[in-house]
Amino acid sequence: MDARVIARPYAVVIAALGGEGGGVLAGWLVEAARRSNHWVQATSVPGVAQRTGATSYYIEWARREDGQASAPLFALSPTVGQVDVLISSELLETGRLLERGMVTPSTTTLISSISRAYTVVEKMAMGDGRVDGEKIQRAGRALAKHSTWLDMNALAAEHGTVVSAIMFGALAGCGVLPWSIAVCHEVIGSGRHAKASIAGFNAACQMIAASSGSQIAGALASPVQVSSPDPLLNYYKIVQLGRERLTDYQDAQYAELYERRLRDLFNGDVDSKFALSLAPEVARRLALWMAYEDVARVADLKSRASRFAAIRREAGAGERDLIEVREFLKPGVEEIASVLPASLGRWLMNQKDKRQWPATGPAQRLQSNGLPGLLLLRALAQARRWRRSSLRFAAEQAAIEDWLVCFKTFWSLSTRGSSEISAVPSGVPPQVAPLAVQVCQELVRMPQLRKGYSDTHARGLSNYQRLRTTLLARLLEDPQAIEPAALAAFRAALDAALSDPEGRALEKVLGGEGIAPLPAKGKPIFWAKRVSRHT
Amino acid sequence: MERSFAREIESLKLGAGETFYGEGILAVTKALLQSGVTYVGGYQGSPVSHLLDVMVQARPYLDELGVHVEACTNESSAAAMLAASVMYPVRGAVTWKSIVGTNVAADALSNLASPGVMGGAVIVVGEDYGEGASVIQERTHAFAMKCSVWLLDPRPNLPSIVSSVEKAFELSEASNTPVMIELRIRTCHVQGSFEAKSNRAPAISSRALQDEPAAFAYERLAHPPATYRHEKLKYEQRLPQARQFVLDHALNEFMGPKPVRTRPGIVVQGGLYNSLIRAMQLLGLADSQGEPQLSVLVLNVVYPLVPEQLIEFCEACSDVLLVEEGQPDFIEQELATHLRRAGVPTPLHGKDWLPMGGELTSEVLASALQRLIPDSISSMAEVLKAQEIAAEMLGELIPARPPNFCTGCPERPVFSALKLVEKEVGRVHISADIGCHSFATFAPFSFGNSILGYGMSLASSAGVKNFSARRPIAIMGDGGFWHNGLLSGVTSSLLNRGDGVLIVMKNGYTSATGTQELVSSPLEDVKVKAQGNSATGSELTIENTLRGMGVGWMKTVHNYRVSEVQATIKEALSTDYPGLKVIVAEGECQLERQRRIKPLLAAQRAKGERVVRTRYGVDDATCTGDHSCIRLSGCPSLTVKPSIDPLKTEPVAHVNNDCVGCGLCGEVAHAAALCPSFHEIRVVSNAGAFERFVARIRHWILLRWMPA
Repeated sequence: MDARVIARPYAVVIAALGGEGGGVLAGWLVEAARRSNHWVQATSVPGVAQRTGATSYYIEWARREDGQASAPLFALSPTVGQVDVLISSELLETGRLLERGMVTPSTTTLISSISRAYTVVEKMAMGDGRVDGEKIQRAGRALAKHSTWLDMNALAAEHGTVVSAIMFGALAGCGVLPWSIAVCHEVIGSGRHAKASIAGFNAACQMIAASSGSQIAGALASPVQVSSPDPLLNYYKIVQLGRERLTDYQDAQYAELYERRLRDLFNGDVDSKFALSLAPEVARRLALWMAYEDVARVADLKSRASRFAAIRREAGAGERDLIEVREFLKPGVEEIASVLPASLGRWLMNQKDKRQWPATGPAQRLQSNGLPGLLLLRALAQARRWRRSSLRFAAEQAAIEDWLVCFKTFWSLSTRGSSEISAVPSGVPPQVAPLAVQVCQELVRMPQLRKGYSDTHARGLSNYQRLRTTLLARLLEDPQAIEPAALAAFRAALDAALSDPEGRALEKVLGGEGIAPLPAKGKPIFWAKRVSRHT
Repeated sequence: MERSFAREIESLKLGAGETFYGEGILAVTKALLQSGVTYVGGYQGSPVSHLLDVMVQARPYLDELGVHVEACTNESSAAAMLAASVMYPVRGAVTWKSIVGTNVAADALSNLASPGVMGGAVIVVGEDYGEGASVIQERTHAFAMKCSVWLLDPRPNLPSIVSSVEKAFELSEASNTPVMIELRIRTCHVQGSFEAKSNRAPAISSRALQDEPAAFAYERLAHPPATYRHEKLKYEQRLPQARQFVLDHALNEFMGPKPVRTRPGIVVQGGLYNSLIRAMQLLGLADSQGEPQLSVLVLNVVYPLVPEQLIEFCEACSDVLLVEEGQPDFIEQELATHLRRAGVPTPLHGKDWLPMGGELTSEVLASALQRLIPDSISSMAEVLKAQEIAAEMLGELIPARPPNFCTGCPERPVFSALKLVEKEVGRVHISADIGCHSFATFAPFSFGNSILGYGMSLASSAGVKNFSARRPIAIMGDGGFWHNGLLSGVTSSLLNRGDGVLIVMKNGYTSATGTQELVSSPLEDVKVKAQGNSATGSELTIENTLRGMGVGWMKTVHNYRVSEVQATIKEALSTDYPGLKVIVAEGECQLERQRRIKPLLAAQRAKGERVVRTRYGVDDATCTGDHSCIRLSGCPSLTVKPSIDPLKTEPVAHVNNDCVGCGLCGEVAHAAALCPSFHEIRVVSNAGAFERFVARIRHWILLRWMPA
């Protein structure tokens, strides 16, 4: 290192979300520094970030030497490469500061929570829009001098306190504070919430100190492993779950149909490495699709004893507390019609059109753990008995069969019972096989479009149909001659439909492929009368 | 008000020799009292809100001193308040957020600056520039120059700030000119200390009344022909007086060694001094205490400049770097002119090496310094490497986290309703405004075609409605309504028989700045009676005002009834009524309600009374993970979590424990016919013996019917 490098004050950055008590923590640090003979300065950019936005605090301190009359110069904002400690209460915020270069290998001790408060854009995505937290942890580990990871939110909840106390304890536990724990306790004080704060402080401090050294608590941060490392085992696990789900949903016979469909598809050849790359996902999607949520299913799920027990737990109701659960139901005519026996359902839909009933009935607030409410739900759940003859059942099964046929068409091009992709079926041009696999990969994603209820479901369904009748139909025209461009277009259109629930992005992609847009839907003419200004 | 300043009020009372610990902006408050102000006013806004907030809460103490505090309804009225110092030898100070506040105050400011002042008049502006700013990025400097008002930009530490405030009054009196002090965001919030002086009770005050008003003096009016003379006075008298004062009192400071012809020197705005020194430390150009090894001239007064001081400094250096933040580069242009006129050949660097816009952080300054001193050490290599590794390992950019409506905010439902209306009638032109409701410009709502300033939404749709097939909607908070919107929006629309739709968010306070009071804030007894419910329902000042002005179509809706709000907006868009249509969307700020209800519920629970707590939930099993509910709400407590169902790999919606039970989830589920997964949970604590008995029987019966 260059001998001319100047000693500067110790620099600490606190990254937090508005309302998490970052200001309180900064206050504690300032007070503790003052009490332990340090010069100190803290500042922040709260602004409107107090309303749940990202916010950061910056603190510098330096030991007060004997005879030193004035404080050294303190900076007001962190300088990249010059941060001694970065403590963050939220994983994504840690990522944000990593991105800015605030964590450098020669300087920075990183203490980060692994808990997430998802941003709106992550939450509002049609599917899974979450940022990969593992990536942030890996980057943090690579860039920090020392890194410590812990679930600050969980600790705070456990001790009935706020994250600021946990952060303070974590700083103390990492040994970066030049004052004693007694001083920390002293500045937390003896106010109304002090007891919980000190409990949280101690817990975090001990957790880190106990795991000795720097890289600790990292073990806490490993994500939950959902799937088994062995794909075959994984596949059978999913099929087992699917069978149970469908027996619960309908009956053993329906579960049988599920297995038969899978068997037909893979010709009993799932154990090839190649088939296993897709089979678990196909099994999963098919199970979810076959257990589509209709009124009967929802009513059934909502009236189970296990559900009320779970709600009680989640709401943190005490043993002596009573709970009342109210449901917000607004079943539409179509949803009712769809679970009635087909003829009755059709009659109801005709009535709806003839009499111009509104699409949805009156809003219901139903107490599901009250007697009338529960009985109504149980009655609705009985519709399962004639589900096989309902309108919706027929429609869903037809769509499922169609999807399976499409899948099979391309699947058979990519392999023929043998174990590896190199074994291309005879008569199929060799360049087609890998493309066919890719089509299958996209096809597996298609059922995702059909989720949701009422409007969301209707839009998803129309996007599905649109894709089926346009780009997928094109691919099916001559499956043996898949054009890479056609595949790319199909993929882009599927991405668009999955990311934009309104279907505008989908139409844009389709337009680019020379497919005429759907005729505009009839919308009531909206008339705002003009006022003449000349009267 | 959102925050209590009880502790800070005590530090305002500190006497001579005691140490004040606290925030920069509160140090300013204390400095005002030490300077013997007679009156203080202002309008709240980050980063200077606390100055006024603490004074409003400290009224009893200020009454003892005889200091009058006015929570002005806008910056214009705050600036006009300084008129008291035009004809009387009284000191006064006002504060606001700049640049926007200065824009609003501009008219009064010009009319104040023209006749000049007798008593010291100080304007503390929060320079909302750079990271964390919430307004357009412009410099207050321009106003100082065009009005001939002096502008101080002190070094960002408490002793410097306090002494600047004290000197500002003296400078103002010595040159008969109002003085502005600009404080940047981090400076306002900096925690530090200074040695206090005793507060001075003003000689003329609410406790020491003056018997007679000032004598008539036409030459003190901003009215022709006096204005012609005022202009002359500005440059013939006041400017030289001010420059002399700056020199005499050494308001600008020389740091580091004496300038020599062989070394470069630096001229810096006082507020940027610490960033400059940190940058110099990085390059080995300042010691660990912060003592620079180059000569630095610190301009704590950035307008007016003192030409002889600058010329002398520049002449003595080999090169000069001028560190000036923002654009245009007013100081550089003036300095260059002075040097040219004086024939000083020293090369001058500034915006040729520094970015025109944006904050001058230490890393930005370091790169300019490196050009000035090429043999200085470089410390940026590791940082660049770190940024590169981070970018590579993180892949996509980390998504932004802009501010959002609080959990339970009553403004969110209005935008949910608006989204549903748009589904029916198509997109509508929406004029947005300043206030919490401007968070609707972020996801998931993404509403708003323009933001033209505080209270300006209705006025900004005046041109649009004439060529729009659908009526435009203007959205305004009650804060904006009283700040400006009533006059520039409503009256103008009525005069011109405008056909637009105005939605006024009646939440009772200027919430975005810290729930300060409005003329239409609910009264204390109403709030006590309302307990945890909205207290704004019975407060009718806005409605009465509008009716009195002749608004013929006006409906008040309670925000949480989403279907009703939806129907009302639709009606406003389609009615035959020809004039302005106003929807008052009522729902008290959740922060205020929570502040009331939390202690109330805790007390009830402690006393063993029956307490009902409401929250919402989502059924894991029926949620399909399409998140359409989130796209209609964006509530922080409505989030996602991994599904417990192993067959579902996508995250499901989830209501976390921050839920305050506002009811929006259920309302939206109904209004949008969204999804049956939402449920309301009422947890009844301390239920009576009979209620518990009935519940137990019911549960026993229900269990017969429930599958496991």
